[in-house]
Amino acid sequence: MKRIGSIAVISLMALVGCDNASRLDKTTKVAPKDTPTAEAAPGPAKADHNGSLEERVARIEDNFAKYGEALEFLQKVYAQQKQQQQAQEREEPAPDAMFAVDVTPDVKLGMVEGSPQALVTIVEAWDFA
Amino acid sequence: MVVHPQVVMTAHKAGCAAGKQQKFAAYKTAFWDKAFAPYASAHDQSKLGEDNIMAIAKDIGLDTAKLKADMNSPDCQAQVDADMKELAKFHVNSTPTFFINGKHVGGALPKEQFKAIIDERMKVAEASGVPGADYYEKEVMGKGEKQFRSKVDPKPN
Repeated sequence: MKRIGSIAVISLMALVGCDNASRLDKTTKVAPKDTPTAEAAPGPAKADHNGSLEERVARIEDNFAKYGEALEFLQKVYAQQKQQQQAQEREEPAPDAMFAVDVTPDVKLGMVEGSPQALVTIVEAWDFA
Repeated sequence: MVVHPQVVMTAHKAGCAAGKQQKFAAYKTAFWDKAFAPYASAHDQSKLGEDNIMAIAKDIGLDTAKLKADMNSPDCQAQVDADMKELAKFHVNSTPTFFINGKHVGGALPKEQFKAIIDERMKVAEASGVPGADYYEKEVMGKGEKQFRSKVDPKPN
């Protein structure tokens, strides 16, 4: 889960990178190749601003294709987990509900303990095993 | 009320039959001590069987012949079936489960938490002004929800 979380964060950062890349429209200037920051840019989180607009868009598309499969997998895992969580929640009783459990037959048969004047009735459901 | 009668049908039918002799509470206590406890510690299934049940019944002064006859009567079978049907309506599928004046409590809670829920329900009941003898029928059965509602379902009007 933690690992998935890390991947998700990385993916998110990549997407944020894409958002930042929208500034491409405003930047037409090509960065010099010998700029130390551009050369030393490590990892996928650092955006590569080199090349023409077309080249940069192509790089983004390549990256998107590269991570597409991983994103799809993450989406599937997320959807599965969400489904499981929803199924679980659908089986959890509403905390504010007052359920009308009919105990009349049990009371009639004497399967009851305590005072009939009691303000609180506890219905017990258990097995002798 | 019984959740998994296929496991302990005999014991539950005996509970019903003991109730007919006004000794359900005594039977229940004795069964936990002399049948369930040894069964749980030694996994001895025979402790849940009819022979041991009859021995327990004799110890607490039950008429064992009547007990046996009642256990096999349609009444007690119908009671177990009715319990199962009622619990299924509220999606009870694990034990122990409690309904405290209709409030669902799942699992074995620490005593303090259990007490807190009872106290809270008691305050509500006292505030209603309805006498204890009528409270469950009038307030819980009369105003309570007749079937299961999950935490994601909207509250009925």
